[in-house]
Amino acid sequence: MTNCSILILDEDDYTWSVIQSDLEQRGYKNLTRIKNGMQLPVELKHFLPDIVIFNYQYHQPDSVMLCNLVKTMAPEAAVIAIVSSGPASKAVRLWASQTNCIDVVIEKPLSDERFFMTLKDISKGKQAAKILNQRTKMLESLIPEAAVVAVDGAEVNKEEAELVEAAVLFTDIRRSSQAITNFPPREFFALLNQMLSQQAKMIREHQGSVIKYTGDGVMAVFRGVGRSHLALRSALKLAENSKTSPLPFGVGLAEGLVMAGMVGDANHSGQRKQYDVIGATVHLASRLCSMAEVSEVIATQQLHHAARLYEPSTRQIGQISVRGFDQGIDCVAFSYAGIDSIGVTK
Amino acid sequence: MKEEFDSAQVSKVIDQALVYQCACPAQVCSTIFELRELFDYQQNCANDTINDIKVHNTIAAAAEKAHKIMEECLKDVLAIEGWDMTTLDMPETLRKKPVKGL
Repeated sequence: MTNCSILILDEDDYTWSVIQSDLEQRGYKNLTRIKNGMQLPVELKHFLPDIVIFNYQYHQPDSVMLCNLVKTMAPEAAVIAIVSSGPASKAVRLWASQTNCIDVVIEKPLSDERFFMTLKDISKGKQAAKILNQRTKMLESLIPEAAVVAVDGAEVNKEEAELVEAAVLFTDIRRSSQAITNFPPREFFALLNQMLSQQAKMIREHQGSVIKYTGDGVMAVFRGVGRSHLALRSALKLAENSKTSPLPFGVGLAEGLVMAGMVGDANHSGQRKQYDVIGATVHLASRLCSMAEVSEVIATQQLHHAARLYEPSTRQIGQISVRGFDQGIDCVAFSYAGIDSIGVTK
Repeated sequence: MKEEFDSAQVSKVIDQALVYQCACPAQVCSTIFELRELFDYQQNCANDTINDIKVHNTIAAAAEKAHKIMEECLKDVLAIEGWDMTTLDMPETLRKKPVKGL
Protein backbone atom coordinates (compact mmCIF):
# COMPACT_ATOMS: atom_id res chain seq x y z
CA MET A 1 0.00 0.00 0.00
CA THR A 2 1.38 3.39 -0.95
CA ASN A 3 0.00 6.86 -0.42
CA CYS A 4 1.69 8.20 -3.55
CA SER A 5 -0.66 10.22 -5.71
CA ILE A 6 -0.55 9.17 -9.35
CA LEU A 7 -1.90 11.03 -12.33
CA ILE A 8 -2.43 8.97 -15.47
CA LEU A 9 -2.53 10.70 -18.82
CA ASP A 10 -4.24 8.28 -21.15
CA GLU A 11 -6.79 8.97 -23.83
CA ASP A 12 -7.64 5.32 -24.30
CA ASP A 13 -10.31 3.95 -21.98
CA TYR A 14 -9.13 0.40 -22.37
CA THR A 15 -5.46 0.92 -21.58
CA TRP A 16 -6.44 3.24 -18.71
CA SER A 17 -8.63 0.51 -17.24
CA VAL A 18 -5.76 -1.97 -17.55
CA ILE A 19 -3.28 0.32 -15.83
CA GLN A 20 -5.79 1.34 -13.16
CA SER A 21 -6.69 -2.24 -12.37
CA ASP A 22 -3.08 -3.35 -12.06
CA LEU A 23 -2.06 -0.34 -9.99
CA GLU A 24 -4.94 -0.88 -7.59
CA GLN A 25 -4.02 -4.54 -7.24
CA ARG A 26 -0.57 -3.43 -6.18
CA GLY A 27 -1.86 -1.05 -3.53
CA TYR A 28 -1.82 2.24 -5.45
CA LYS A 29 -5.18 3.73 -4.53
CA ASN A 30 -4.67 7.45 -5.07
CA LEU A 31 -5.19 7.49 -8.85
CA THR A 32 -6.48 10.25 -11.07
CA ARG A 33 -6.98 9.99 -14.78
CA ILE A 34 -6.92 12.67 -17.43
CA LYS A 35 -8.32 11.63 -20.76
CA ASN A 36 -8.04 14.91 -22.56
CA GLY A 37 -4.83 16.93 -22.35
CA MET A 38 -6.87 20.13 -22.32
CA GLN A 39 -7.97 19.22 -18.78
CA LEU A 40 -4.41 18.98 -17.53
CA PRO A 41 -3.78 22.65 -16.58
CA VAL A 42 -7.09 22.79 -14.70
CA GLU A 43 -6.36 19.54 -12.88
CA LEU A 44 -2.81 20.56 -11.91
CA LYS A 45 -4.07 23.82 -10.43
CA HIS A 46 -5.58 21.98 -7.49
CA PHE A 47 -3.82 18.62 -7.55
CA LEU A 48 -0.06 18.11 -7.54
CA PRO A 49 0.70 14.43 -8.15
CA ASP A 50 3.82 12.62 -6.98
CA ILE A 51 4.01 10.56 -10.15
CA VAL A 52 2.61 11.07 -13.64
CA ILE A 53 2.18 8.10 -15.97
CA PHE A 54 1.95 9.22 -19.56
CA ASN A 55 0.72 6.70 -22.12
CA TYR A 56 2.16 8.02 -25.36
CA GLN A 57 0.34 7.19 -28.58
CA TYR A 58 2.32 7.19 -31.81
CA HIS A 59 -0.44 8.92 -33.76
CA GLN A 60 -0.40 11.89 -31.36
CA PRO A 61 3.24 13.00 -31.30
CA ASP A 62 2.41 16.48 -29.97
CA SER A 63 0.94 15.00 -26.81
CA VAL A 64 4.49 14.65 -25.47
CA MET A 65 4.34 18.37 -24.75
CA LEU A 66 1.92 17.59 -21.92
CA CYS A 67 4.98 16.36 -20.03
CA ASN A 68 6.51 19.83 -20.27
CA LEU A 69 3.33 21.26 -18.82
CA VAL A 70 3.51 18.76 -15.96
CA LYS A 71 7.12 19.71 -15.19
CA THR A 72 6.20 23.40 -15.27
CA MET A 73 3.14 23.14 -13.02
CA ALA A 74 4.22 20.22 -10.85
CA PRO A 75 8.03 20.22 -10.96
CA GLU A 76 8.29 17.74 -8.09
CA ALA A 77 6.34 15.08 -9.97
CA ALA A 78 8.22 12.20 -11.58
CA VAL A 79 7.07 11.57 -15.15
CA ILE A 80 7.04 8.02 -16.53
CA ALA A 81 6.32 7.73 -20.24
CA ILE A 82 5.04 4.45 -21.64
CA VAL A 83 5.97 4.34 -25.29
CA SER A 84 5.79 1.78 -28.07
CA SER A 85 9.18 0.44 -29.12
CA GLY A 86 10.81 1.58 -32.35
CA PRO A 87 10.50 5.11 -33.75
CA ALA A 88 8.13 6.32 -31.01
CA SER A 89 10.57 5.28 -28.31
CA LYS A 90 13.44 6.98 -30.12
CA ALA A 91 11.48 10.21 -30.56
CA VAL A 92 10.32 10.35 -26.94
CA ARG A 93 13.78 9.53 -25.58
CA LEU A 94 15.23 12.33 -27.68
CA TRP A 95 12.54 14.70 -26.43
CA ALA A 96 13.23 13.61 -22.86
CA SER A 97 16.95 14.25 -23.17
CA GLN A 98 16.38 17.66 -24.75
CA THR A 99 13.76 18.93 -22.33
CA ASN A 100 14.30 16.92 -19.13
CA CYS A 101 10.54 16.72 -18.84
CA ILE A 102 10.40 12.91 -18.72
CA ASP A 103 12.21 10.99 -16.01
CA VAL A 104 11.75 7.42 -17.21
CA VAL A 105 10.79 5.93 -20.58
CA ILE A 106 9.40 2.40 -20.57
CA GLU A 107 8.65 0.56 -23.77
CA LYS A 108 5.39 -1.15 -24.61
CA PRO A 109 4.19 -3.82 -24.56
CA LEU A 110 4.36 -3.90 -20.78
CA SER A 111 4.79 -7.59 -20.56
CA ASP A 112 7.12 -7.86 -17.61
CA GLU A 113 7.57 -6.38 -14.13
CA ARG A 114 9.87 -3.61 -15.34
CA PHE A 115 7.13 -0.99 -15.21
CA PHE A 116 6.03 -1.83 -11.69
CA MET A 117 9.55 -2.16 -10.37
CA THR A 118 10.32 1.32 -11.71
CA LEU A 119 7.09 2.67 -10.27
CA LYS A 120 7.84 1.08 -6.91
CA ASP A 121 11.34 2.60 -6.83
CA ILE A 122 10.07 6.06 -7.73
CA SER A 123 7.20 5.74 -5.29
CA LYS A 124 9.62 4.79 -2.50
CA GLY A 125 11.87 7.71 -3.39
CA LYS A 126 8.93 10.11 -3.39
CA GLN A 127 7.72 8.90 -0.01
CA ALA A 128 11.20 9.20 1.44
CA ALA A 129 11.47 12.73 0.02
CA LYS A 130 8.09 13.62 1.54
CA ILE A 131 9.19 12.45 4.98
CA LEU A 132 12.48 14.28 4.59
CA ASN A 133 10.70 17.49 3.57
CA GLN A 134 8.35 17.28 6.55
CA ARG A 135 11.31 16.71 8.83
CA THR A 136 13.24 19.58 7.27
CA LYS A 137 10.25 21.90 7.73
CA MET A 138 9.96 20.86 11.36
CA LEU A 139 13.69 21.39 11.93
CA GLU A 140 13.55 24.74 10.15
CA SER A 141 10.97 25.88 12.67
CA LEU A 142 13.37 24.95 15.47
CA ILE A 143 16.38 26.86 14.24
CA PRO A 144 16.82 30.56 13.52
CA GLU A 145 16.49 31.79 9.94
CA ALA A 146 20.01 33.20 10.06
CA ALA A 147 21.34 29.74 10.88
CA VAL A 148 19.58 28.28 7.84
CA VAL A 149 21.11 31.02 5.69
CA ALA A 150 24.55 30.38 7.22
CA VAL A 151 24.33 26.66 6.57
CA ASP A 152 22.84 27.01 3.09
CA GLY A 153 25.19 29.77 1.95
CA ALA A 154 28.01 28.24 -0.02
CA GLU A 155 30.18 31.29 0.52
CA VAL A 156 29.97 31.01 4.28
CA ASN A 157 32.59 29.02 6.11
CA LYS A 158 30.40 27.07 8.50
CA GLU A 159 33.19 26.71 11.04
CA GLU A 160 34.00 30.41 11.25
CA ALA A 161 32.13 33.07 13.18
CA GLU A 162 31.50 36.38 11.44
CA LEU A 163 31.79 39.80 12.98
CA VAL A 164 28.87 41.93 11.83
CA GLU A 165 27.09 45.17 12.63
CA ALA A 166 23.64 44.34 13.93
CA ALA A 167 20.81 45.68 16.04
CA VAL A 168 19.97 43.21 18.80
CA LEU A 169 16.51 43.00 20.32
CA PHE A 170 15.41 41.22 23.46
CA THR A 171 11.93 40.80 24.89
CA ASP A 172 11.13 39.42 28.31
CA ILE A 173 7.88 38.91 30.24
CA ARG A 174 7.66 41.10 33.30
CA ARG A 175 7.04 39.31 36.55
CA SER A 176 6.84 35.97 34.76
CA SER A 177 7.15 33.97 38.00
CA GLN A 178 3.94 35.58 39.20
CA ALA A 179 2.28 35.11 35.81
CA ILE A 180 2.99 31.39 35.93
CA THR A 181 1.05 31.11 39.19
CA ASN A 182 -1.85 33.14 37.74
CA PHE A 183 -2.60 30.61 35.01
CA PRO A 184 -2.98 26.85 34.88
CA PRO A 185 0.35 25.48 33.49
CA ARG A 186 -1.10 24.36 30.13
CA GLU A 187 -2.89 27.65 29.64
CA PHE A 188 0.27 29.57 30.52
CA PHE A 189 2.24 27.49 28.03
CA ALA A 190 -0.34 28.09 25.29
CA LEU A 191 -0.40 31.84 26.01
CA LEU A 192 3.39 31.96 26.03
CA ASN A 193 3.60 30.19 22.67
CA GLN A 194 0.96 32.45 21.20
CA MET A 195 2.77 35.55 22.43
CA LEU A 196 6.18 34.36 21.21
CA SER A 197 4.70 33.48 17.81
CA GLN A 198 3.23 36.98 17.51
CA GLN A 199 6.53 38.52 18.50
CA ALA A 200 8.45 36.42 15.97
CA LYS A 201 5.96 37.36 13.27
CA MET A 202 6.34 41.08 14.00
CA ILE A 203 10.11 40.77 14.02
CA ARG A 204 10.09 38.99 10.67
CA GLU A 205 7.73 41.60 9.26
CA HIS A 206 10.45 44.14 10.04
CA GLN A 207 13.11 41.98 8.40
CA GLY A 208 14.55 40.79 11.69
CA SER A 209 15.65 37.26 12.43
CA VAL A 210 14.76 35.41 15.63
CA ILE A 211 17.95 33.82 16.94
CA LYS A 212 16.43 32.02 19.87
CA TYR A 213 13.63 31.88 22.40
CA THR A 214 14.93 32.66 25.84
CA GLY A 215 12.21 30.93 27.84
CA ASP A 216 9.81 33.82 28.23
CA GLY A 217 11.10 36.10 25.52
CA VAL A 218 12.98 36.24 22.25
CA MET A 219 16.36 37.34 21.04
CA ALA A 220 16.47 38.70 17.52
CA VAL A 221 18.89 40.51 15.26
CA PHE A 222 18.45 43.00 12.45
CA ARG A 223 21.20 43.23 9.89
CA GLY A 224 21.95 45.26 6.82
CA VAL A 225 20.99 48.76 5.76
CA GLY A 226 18.26 50.36 7.89
CA ARG A 227 18.69 47.83 10.69
CA SER A 228 18.35 50.42 13.48
CA HIS A 229 15.21 51.89 11.94
CA LEU A 230 13.62 48.50 11.41
CA ALA A 231 14.66 47.27 14.85
CA LEU A 232 13.20 50.29 16.63
CA ARG A 233 9.98 50.15 14.62
CA SER A 234 9.68 46.50 15.43
CA ALA A 235 10.39 47.17 19.13
CA LEU A 236 7.78 49.94 19.28
CA LYS A 237 5.22 47.72 17.64
CA LEU A 238 6.02 44.92 20.08
CA ALA A 239 5.71 47.28 23.04
CA GLU A 240 2.37 48.50 21.77
CA ASN A 241 1.23 44.92 21.40
CA SER A 242 2.36 44.19 24.94
CA LYS A 243 -0.35 46.54 26.24
CA THR A 244 -3.07 44.05 25.34
CA SER A 245 -1.08 40.90 26.01
CA PRO A 246 -2.06 38.73 29.00
CA LEU A 247 1.69 38.33 29.49
CA PRO A 248 3.05 41.89 29.21
CA PHE A 249 6.72 42.28 28.48
CA GLY A 250 9.53 44.78 28.06
CA VAL A 251 11.92 45.28 25.14
CA GLY A 252 15.66 46.05 25.04
CA LEU A 253 17.49 47.27 21.98
CA ALA A 254 21.15 47.97 21.17
CA GLU A 255 23.23 48.28 18.06
CA GLY A 256 26.89 47.45 17.42
CA LEU A 257 29.32 44.71 16.47
CA VAL A 258 28.29 41.16 17.25
CA MET A 259 29.89 37.81 16.61
CA ALA A 260 27.55 35.42 14.76
CA GLY A 261 28.15 31.76 14.08
CA MET A 262 27.82 28.21 15.23
CA VAL A 263 28.66 27.58 18.86
CA GLY A 264 28.88 24.29 20.69
CA ASP A 265 30.67 21.04 20.19
CA ALA A 266 29.62 18.80 17.32
CA ASN A 267 32.50 16.37 17.77
CA HIS A 268 30.86 14.22 20.41
CA SER A 269 27.71 12.21 20.02
CA GLY A 270 24.73 13.65 21.80
CA GLN A 271 26.08 17.19 21.54
CA ARG A 272 25.19 19.65 18.89
CA LYS A 273 26.03 23.07 17.63
CA GLN A 274 23.63 25.95 17.58
CA TYR A 275 23.63 29.24 15.79
CA ASP A 276 24.06 32.15 18.15
CA VAL A 277 25.02 35.78 18.34
CA ILE A 278 27.36 36.92 21.09
CA GLY A 279 29.24 40.02 22.20
CA ALA A 280 28.99 43.16 24.28
CA THR A 281 26.11 44.51 22.20
CA VAL A 282 24.11 41.40 23.05
CA HIS A 283 24.84 41.86 26.76
CA LEU A 284 23.80 45.47 26.49
CA ALA A 285 20.49 44.71 24.76
CA SER A 286 19.75 42.01 27.32
CA ARG A 287 20.56 44.40 30.16
CA LEU A 288 18.30 47.10 28.69
CA CYS A 289 15.52 44.57 28.34
CA SER A 290 15.79 43.63 31.99
CA MET A 291 15.50 47.32 32.89
CA ALA A 292 12.45 47.96 30.72
CA GLU A 293 9.05 48.22 32.37
CA VAL A 294 5.90 46.63 31.02
CA SER A 295 5.27 47.74 27.41
CA GLU A 296 8.42 49.81 27.42
CA VAL A 297 11.32 49.86 24.98
CA ILE A 298 14.74 50.84 26.25
CA ALA A 299 17.23 51.49 23.49
CA THR A 300 20.65 53.04 23.22
CA GLN A 301 20.72 56.70 22.25
CA GLN A 302 23.02 55.73 19.41
CA LEU A 303 20.45 53.34 17.96
CA HIS A 304 17.65 55.85 18.43
CA HIS A 305 19.68 58.44 16.56
CA ALA A 306 20.59 56.07 13.74
CA ALA A 307 16.99 54.92 13.43
CA ARG A 308 15.80 58.44 12.58
CA LEU A 309 12.48 57.77 14.22
CA TYR A 310 11.57 60.89 16.12
CA GLU A 311 9.68 59.18 18.84
CA PRO A 312 9.97 61.21 22.06
CA SER A 313 11.59 59.49 24.98
CA THR A 314 9.10 58.91 27.79
CA ARG A 315 11.51 58.25 30.63
CA GLN A 316 14.96 59.52 31.51
CA ILE A 317 17.38 56.63 31.73
CA GLY A 318 20.65 58.49 31.43
CA GLN A 319 23.87 56.57 31.26
CA ILE A 320 24.13 52.96 32.29
CA SER A 321 27.32 51.02 32.73
CA VAL A 322 27.65 47.64 31.13
CA ARG A 323 30.50 45.17 31.33
CA GLY A 324 32.55 45.35 28.13
CA PHE A 325 32.00 49.07 27.65
CA ASP A 326 34.54 51.54 28.99
CA GLN A 327 32.06 54.34 29.45
CA GLY A 328 28.42 54.57 30.43
CA ILE A 329 25.89 54.16 27.61
CA ASP A 330 23.28 56.84 26.93
CA CYS A 331 19.86 55.27 26.73
CA VAL A 332 16.30 56.29 25.98
CA ALA A 333 12.95 54.78 26.88
CA PHE A 334 9.63 54.65 25.08
CA SER A 335 6.67 53.52 27.09
CA TYR A 336 3.23 52.65 25.79
CA ALA A 337 1.76 51.38 29.02
CA GLY A 338 -0.74 54.19 29.32
CA ILE A 339 -1.03 55.34 25.71
CA ASP A 340 -3.91 54.28 23.50
CA SER A 341 -2.02 54.27 20.22
CA ILE A 342 1.42 55.10 18.99
CA GLY A 343 2.58 57.05 16.02
CA VAL A 344 5.73 55.36 14.93
CA THR A 345 6.94 58.11 12.70
CA LYS A 346 6.34 61.76 13.13
CA MET B 1 14.24 -3.19 -47.05
CA LYS B 2 10.70 -3.63 -48.22
CA GLU B 3 8.14 -2.77 -45.55
CA GLU B 4 4.59 -4.05 -45.73
CA PHE B 5 3.61 -2.23 -42.51
CA ASP B 6 4.90 1.27 -41.99
CA SER B 7 6.07 2.60 -38.60
CA ALA B 8 2.74 4.19 -37.81
CA GLN B 9 0.88 0.94 -38.41
CA VAL B 10 3.24 -1.17 -36.34
CA SER B 11 3.18 1.44 -33.53
CA LYS B 12 -0.60 1.49 -33.59
CA VAL B 13 -0.73 -2.23 -32.94
CA ILE B 14 1.68 -1.85 -30.01
CA ASP B 15 -0.20 1.15 -28.59
CA GLN B 16 -3.45 -0.77 -28.53
CA ALA B 17 -1.91 -3.93 -27.21
CA LEU B 18 -0.50 -2.27 -24.12
CA VAL B 19 -1.49 -5.50 -22.54
CA TYR B 20 -4.39 -7.83 -22.85
CA GLN B 21 -4.77 -11.50 -22.36
CA CYS B 22 -2.02 -11.99 -24.92
CA ALA B 23 0.32 -9.17 -25.92
CA CYS B 24 2.08 -11.32 -28.51
CA PRO B 25 1.17 -9.23 -31.58
CA ALA B 26 2.85 -6.30 -29.91
CA GLN B 27 5.93 -8.43 -29.26
CA VAL B 28 5.98 -9.34 -32.94
CA CYS B 29 5.80 -5.63 -33.73
CA SER B 30 8.73 -4.91 -31.42
CA THR B 31 10.75 -7.58 -33.18
CA ILE B 32 9.92 -6.00 -36.55
CA PHE B 33 11.21 -2.65 -35.26
CA GLU B 34 14.36 -4.29 -33.92
CA LEU B 35 15.02 -5.95 -37.28
CA ARG B 36 14.56 -2.62 -39.03
CA GLU B 37 17.01 -1.04 -36.62
CA LEU B 38 19.48 -3.84 -37.21
CA PHE B 39 19.17 -3.39 -40.96
CA ASP B 40 19.63 0.39 -40.70
CA TYR B 41 22.57 -0.02 -38.34
CA GLN B 42 24.59 -2.31 -40.63
CA GLN B 43 23.90 0.00 -43.54
CA ASN B 44 25.66 2.84 -41.74
CA CYS B 45 28.67 0.75 -40.81
CA ALA B 46 32.03 1.35 -42.44
CA ASN B 47 32.98 -1.11 -45.19
CA ASP B 48 36.76 -0.83 -45.06
CA THR B 49 37.58 -4.37 -46.05
CA ILE B 50 36.07 -7.06 -48.20
CA ASN B 51 35.27 -8.96 -45.07
CA ASP B 52 33.35 -5.94 -43.72
CA ILE B 53 31.20 -5.94 -46.84
CA LYS B 54 30.60 -9.67 -46.52
CA VAL B 55 29.60 -9.33 -42.86
CA HIS B 56 27.17 -6.49 -43.53
CA ASN B 57 25.65 -8.14 -46.60
CA THR B 58 25.08 -11.30 -44.60
CA ILE B 59 23.39 -9.36 -41.81
CA ALA B 60 21.30 -7.36 -44.28
CA ALA B 61 20.10 -10.49 -46.03
CA ALA B 62 19.26 -12.22 -42.77
CA ALA B 63 17.51 -9.14 -41.36
CA GLU B 64 15.46 -8.77 -44.55
CA LYS B 65 14.52 -12.41 -44.51
CA ALA B 66 13.61 -12.35 -40.83
CA HIS B 67 11.74 -9.08 -41.28
CA LYS B 68 9.67 -10.51 -44.09
CA ILE B 69 8.87 -13.57 -42.01
CA MET B 70 7.85 -11.45 -39.01
CA GLU B 71 5.70 -9.14 -41.11
CA GLU B 72 3.95 -12.18 -42.56
CA CYS B 73 3.59 -13.48 -39.04
CA LEU B 74 2.05 -10.20 -37.89
CA LYS B 75 -0.37 -10.20 -40.81
CA ASP B 76 -1.43 -13.74 -40.03
CA VAL B 77 -1.76 -13.11 -36.30
CA LEU B 78 -3.85 -9.99 -36.82
CA ALA B 79 -6.07 -11.88 -39.24
CA ILE B 80 -6.49 -14.77 -36.83
CA GLU B 81 -7.38 -12.38 -34.00
CA GLY B 82 -9.81 -10.48 -36.20
CA TRP B 83 -8.13 -7.08 -36.30
CA ASP B 84 -9.44 -4.62 -38.86
CA MET B 85 -6.72 -4.89 -41.50
CA THR B 86 -7.49 -1.46 -42.96
CA THR B 87 -7.55 0.63 -39.79
CA LEU B 88 -5.56 -1.82 -37.66
CA ASP B 89 -8.02 -1.39 -34.81
CA MET B 90 -8.03 -4.06 -32.16
CA PRO B 91 -11.26 -6.10 -32.16
CA GLU B 92 -13.64 -5.33 -29.29
CA THR B 93 -13.71 -9.00 -28.36
CA LEU B 94 -10.04 -8.83 -27.44
CA ARG B 95 -10.51 -5.69 -25.38
CA LYS B 96 -13.28 -7.34 -23.42
CA LYS B 97 -11.18 -10.34 -22.52
CA PRO B 98 -10.11 -10.49 -18.89
CA VAL B 99 -6.92 -8.56 -18.53
CA LYS B 100 -3.80 -10.42 -17.60
CA GLY B 101 -1.55 -8.63 -15.15
CA LEU B 102 1.08 -6.45 -16.74
